[in-house]
Amino acid sequence: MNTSMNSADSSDARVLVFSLGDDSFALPVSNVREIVTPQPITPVPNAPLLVPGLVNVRGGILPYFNLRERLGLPPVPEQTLGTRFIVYDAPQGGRLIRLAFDADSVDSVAELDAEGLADMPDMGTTLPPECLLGVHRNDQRMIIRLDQTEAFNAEFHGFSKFDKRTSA
Amino acid sequence: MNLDQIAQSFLAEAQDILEELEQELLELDSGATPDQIDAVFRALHTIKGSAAMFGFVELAGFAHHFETAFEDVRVGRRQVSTSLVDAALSARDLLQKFLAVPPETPEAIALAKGDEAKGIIDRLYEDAPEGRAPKPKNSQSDAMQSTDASDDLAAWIVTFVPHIDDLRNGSRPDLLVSELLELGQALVALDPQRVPDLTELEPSDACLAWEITYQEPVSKQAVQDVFVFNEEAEVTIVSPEDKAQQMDVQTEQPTAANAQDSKISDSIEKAHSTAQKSDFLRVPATRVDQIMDDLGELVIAQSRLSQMVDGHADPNLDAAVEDVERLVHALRDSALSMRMLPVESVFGRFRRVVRDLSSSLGKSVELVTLGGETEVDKNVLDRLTDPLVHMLRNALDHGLESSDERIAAGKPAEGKVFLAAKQEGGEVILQILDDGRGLNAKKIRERAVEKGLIAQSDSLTDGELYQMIFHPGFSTAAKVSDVSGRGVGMDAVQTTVDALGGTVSVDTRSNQGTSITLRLPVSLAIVDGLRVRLGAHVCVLPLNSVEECVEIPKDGKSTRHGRRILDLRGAVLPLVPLSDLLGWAPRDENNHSDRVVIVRADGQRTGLVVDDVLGQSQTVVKPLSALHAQQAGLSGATILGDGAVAMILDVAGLLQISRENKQVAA
Repeated sequence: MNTSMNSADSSDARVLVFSLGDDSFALPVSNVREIVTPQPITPVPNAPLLVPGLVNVRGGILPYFNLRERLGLPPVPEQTLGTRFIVYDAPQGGRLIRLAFDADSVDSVAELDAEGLADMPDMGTTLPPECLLGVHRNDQRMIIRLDQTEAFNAEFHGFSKFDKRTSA
Repeated sequence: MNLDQIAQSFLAEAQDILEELEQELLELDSGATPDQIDAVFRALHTIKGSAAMFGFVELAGFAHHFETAFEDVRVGRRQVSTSLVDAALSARDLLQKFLAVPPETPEAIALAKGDEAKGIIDRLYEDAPEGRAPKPKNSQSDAMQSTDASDDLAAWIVTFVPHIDDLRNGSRPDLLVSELLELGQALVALDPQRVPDLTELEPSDACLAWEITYQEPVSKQAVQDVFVFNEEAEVTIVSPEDKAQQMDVQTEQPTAANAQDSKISDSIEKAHSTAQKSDFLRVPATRVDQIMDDLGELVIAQSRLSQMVDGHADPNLDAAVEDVERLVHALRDSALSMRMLPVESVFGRFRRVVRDLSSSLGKSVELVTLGGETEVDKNVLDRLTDPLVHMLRNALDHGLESSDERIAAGKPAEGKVFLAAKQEGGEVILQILDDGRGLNAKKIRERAVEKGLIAQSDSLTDGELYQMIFHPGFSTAAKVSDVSGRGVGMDAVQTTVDALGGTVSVDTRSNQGTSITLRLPVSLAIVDGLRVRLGAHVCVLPLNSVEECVEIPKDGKSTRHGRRILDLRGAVLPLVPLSDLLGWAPRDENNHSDRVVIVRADGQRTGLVVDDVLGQSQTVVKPLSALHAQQAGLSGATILGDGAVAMILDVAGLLQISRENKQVAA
């Protein structure tokens, strides 16, 4: 177990590269527990927006984290053949919590050294800046390093309010 | 095992011994038998020995005084007195504090040299015979370094005959011998007498024996300490003079040394009677949890297998699947039972609470426990301890009158508190009963009005008034004492019991006493649940909150004040769609379900409308992660036979949220 708690640790060079929509993202591979085929999501009543449900991964019940929602990306209408669930140990309030999130595809494990990390170009990105550590240029592609503490901050959007529906 | 693990296992063992020690000391209160005193002495001796071994020198030093005091009792030099038991209990508590600080740190040394330790040592030696008390100049650590140094130092001759099974038990006689050799210069003689002919030799038997003759004075205590963990071995420690005498005279006359030896073998023998405890395994709770998790999955996989086999008419396959099913269920039951602990294990702690409290309150109280053998899941028991202490305190502080009042009321001066446990189906019932003055409905009413909990005009039955004591911020004690009466106790009881999925009720009779009854599930790991369908999803309602399932008769549905109600055999119940409670999309307006589950929560019945009732089953409860732990109305999740995740609902919690929301809306 070599799970890194330090989100800003850019020396953690081995990353998992996955894509959401048109963008490629990277997270430290040391926190990735496994990659599985998509699982049905059971909604949790009145759950926070970012963790709306639960999934069964090999008999363990894990919270499903909506990373797309966190990054402000549009929801995908349906899963594709490439869709994967990534089981990830995410830092939450000083502890690691195992959760699952989906990616449109899982591309590779790559070594990205800290020198190659550049600031995110200001080209009208809609991604929330606090979630981004920077960007790597790898051949023709741009790989966005995520700050795992911010990206998996479940409290970011607050909680869906219970009285939403009572007023409806 | 690395050093840290060893220290951990010492701490765990010491903790257990301290808990037993507390019980043994409390038993001394009601007349001490030699066996009980021996038990105390053995516990102290073990703690001191292993503490020294694992480097807890400060603890060992303090324990030495504790042990010395009981040594005097054991050999009859002094009697057990209440003040000695008091001092011993304080000493036990201090030992516990020692366990909490790392050894050989400033904190540990401060604890060992502190006033508390000194005071307790003084009390331990208070009516000891002359000369036992430590000289004042003796610092703690000095006393420890050379335990009874003056009479113990000699060039001892030690014979060590390992038990024949020692090697099989994982003991290492060679290490013990090298440990002995570290104590001082010595000659070692190997005694091969017990080694049989080679043809008969069983290689795993421990046949060799040793005689170690020290060439310089060493502490006898140090020699004995080497054998702390080898109770099976025959060990004799004699001085050279005695040895010579023995050889020469060969007389039956018991010498001082022989007497000493017989004492050692005596205590070794006694250690045997307690050695049966090694039938128990110390296993980290997480491993048992892991087994429960895996078994939960096995149960699910097995039920899937059964479903698949149903279609095939193969008797052999059927028989095999049935066998697997039987075994899986047996396995699950035994795994569940591993988590079960007798409630007696916490009752013991309460004897101490009652003893301390009754003396600080100046009341004479007897605690009677019944049904201590009743078994409850460890998780339930752990969370119950604090609420039970609250309730006991309340019973002693508020429930029981002072001796004078009791006599005036024609009752025996000594108050009684009963703590009873029994199992009923899947529930365990815990009852705390006192024979005190009983609750005063009028006072409770005044108090509740004063606190604004009810209005002056509200009419409540006595039963409803008694239930007010569980309300947050309610306390009947006229003045706040440190014993109870901050108005948080009973509220905390209610909260914990709710969280555990149980109920609490109170019954009282003026001048005869009060009883508080807790009904709790025996285990949190498995719940009997009713599976219901809502749209595409399945939820589980715990069966203990379900009363019945009914279908709404065609003409039975109506509304009153805009709320839907159900007329159930003359009783009018509110009717609530479960999907509304869960905040899930409203059901298809065309699909008018007539399936209703009648649930009971907080003494009220409610009809929950669901799309379908699927059936009941035992479900393995998995707790929710920290991301969902704050979610009210849910008590966990489970995995269904088809692998889907289903929420286990907390009915009382859900209805409470719905009530709060209505209030907000209104």
